[in-house]
Amino acid sequence: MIEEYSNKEHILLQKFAGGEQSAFQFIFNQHYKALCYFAFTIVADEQEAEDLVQETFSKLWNKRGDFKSATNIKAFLFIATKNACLNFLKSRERLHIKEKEFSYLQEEQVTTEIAGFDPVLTETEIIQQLYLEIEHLPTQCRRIFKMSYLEGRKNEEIATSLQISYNTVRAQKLRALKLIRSSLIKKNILPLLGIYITLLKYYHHYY
Amino acid sequence: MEADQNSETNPLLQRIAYLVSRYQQDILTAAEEEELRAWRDASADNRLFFEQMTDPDILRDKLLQYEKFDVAAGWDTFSAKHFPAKDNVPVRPVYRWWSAAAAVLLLLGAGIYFLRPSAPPAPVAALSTTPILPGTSKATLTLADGSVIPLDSNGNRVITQQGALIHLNNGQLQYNTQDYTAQTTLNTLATPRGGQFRLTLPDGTRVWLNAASAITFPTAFGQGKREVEIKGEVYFEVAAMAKMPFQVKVSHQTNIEVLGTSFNINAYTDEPGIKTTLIQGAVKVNAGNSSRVLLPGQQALVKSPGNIDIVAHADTAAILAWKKEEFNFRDADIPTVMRQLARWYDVTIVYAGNIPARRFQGEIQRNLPLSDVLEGLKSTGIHFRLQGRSIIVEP
Repeated sequence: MIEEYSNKEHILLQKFAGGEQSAFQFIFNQHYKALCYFAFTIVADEQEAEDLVQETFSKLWNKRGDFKSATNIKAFLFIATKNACLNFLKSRERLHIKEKEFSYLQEEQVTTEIAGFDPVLTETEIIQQLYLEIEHLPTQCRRIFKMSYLEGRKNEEIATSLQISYNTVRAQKLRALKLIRSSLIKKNILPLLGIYITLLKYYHHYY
Repeated sequence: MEADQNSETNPLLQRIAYLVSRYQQDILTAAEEEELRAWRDASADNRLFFEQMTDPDILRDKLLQYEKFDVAAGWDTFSAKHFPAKDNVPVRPVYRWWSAAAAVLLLLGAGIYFLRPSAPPAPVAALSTTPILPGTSKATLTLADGSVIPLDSNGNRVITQQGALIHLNNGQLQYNTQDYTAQTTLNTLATPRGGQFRLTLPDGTRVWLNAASAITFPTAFGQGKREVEIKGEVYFEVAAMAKMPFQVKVSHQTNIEVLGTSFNINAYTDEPGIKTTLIQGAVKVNAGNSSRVLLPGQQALVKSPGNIDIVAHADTAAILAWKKEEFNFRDADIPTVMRQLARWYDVTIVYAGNIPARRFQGEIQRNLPLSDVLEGLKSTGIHFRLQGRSIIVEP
């Protein structure tokens, strides 16, 4: 399995270096949302965040021959985005406003590697992973989970709008939680287990 | 997953995560509590992180924020700049499937977009207000004695029939044959329009039936060939049994011989020909007096007996989309799209004039009400009306 994976990664990197659209799109799809979210958390402006991320991908495109692993690519994307965000804030002289919220932005030096504990990056990764877990739920289960948790709709409302029974809604909500939990355990993603418990708190409140 | 490499390899984060989850379960030891407090108080970032990640409402807002960023739109922008369309491909503006249904469609994440011709979107047509719901798990089982048992996704039960035990479980039927010497009888599992069902045959072969499809099979496979007959669209994962070849009869003159494998057969009579797509293993397609062996990823198209066309690289993701509860159209014309909608939503398609020459590309969940799907189609410039259970396509 590991050989097969690294072989796949090798092919991906080759195609990527060769400027093949499919390989680039694969990387783009994998990181775009997370990078936008990451940038948004720093600059607090959705449009600006997306523009900065577009610039980062343009930089990546220009350097496409330089990468030795998918991890390299990812590190480059996040570091370049973070630097672009910091530069943007500096140029807009907004730094003094934001630094109250994120003191880590005071490190003005341009960083070149992901080091230590970066709360914004960590948060991005956690949200990205949780979002993927939700997306991977079976269709009906995902739909009910989203209606309930993300849209804050009541069980009765969900039952009516999907034309299913109240008990089915309850059962699917529990199923969503169980599936997320077992997936997190399988992947051994400890930080997310904490998040899972946050979800549990939600269930205790609103179930 | 690449996404969590940082978190997996950062021991401090692992430690904090451990403490936070114990905090949430209220099982911290005094020493751990002190450790967590020290970390939390060490910086404003840490405190903020801790507070946000343990609050369900904040977490929800963050997920909603994350969901907002549209990777398809982002890619459109990026690719327009760096991958201009090649000269040999007809240039059509990429159109994302935006509409009132966008909120629902966005849940699909990447890759919801439609190609459309250069015409501007048509004025929005009025839609019927009675919701037409998507298909569900339902089918009928016809036993050898002719009795018909309606099946749906609810209720688990066991049906016994001449040595065969049939379990019904959440929209799946499973045959467990106990007595192989019992006289073999034939059963038929059939889905209506707007139905789908799964079945495990007595040999362990797994079968998925799309809407308006059927399979006839023996309740026990004896010695020699395992033979079944199908209609409509069926996906098979055949249990390997070297001495008992599996054969699928599709029509009077077409059958598929199988050697432990998975493949999809689309044999709807309103589709142009019988399409067999091999995912894994090997199958041999026999049509009249000609036959071809397929390699994985290949598709055989039988338009008439004795005439087999091979598609070397079939679009297997699009072909198997129905199994994943999705529609997946790749450069599909309007009749192709409409035939799929008709079978799944059990509606009739009426063409009020010439069929518009448009082609579509995109994916959408199959469990949405018809109105959501039509909203999306409308925004690509097709004119149509919904009247009762008919979609009227206007030129």
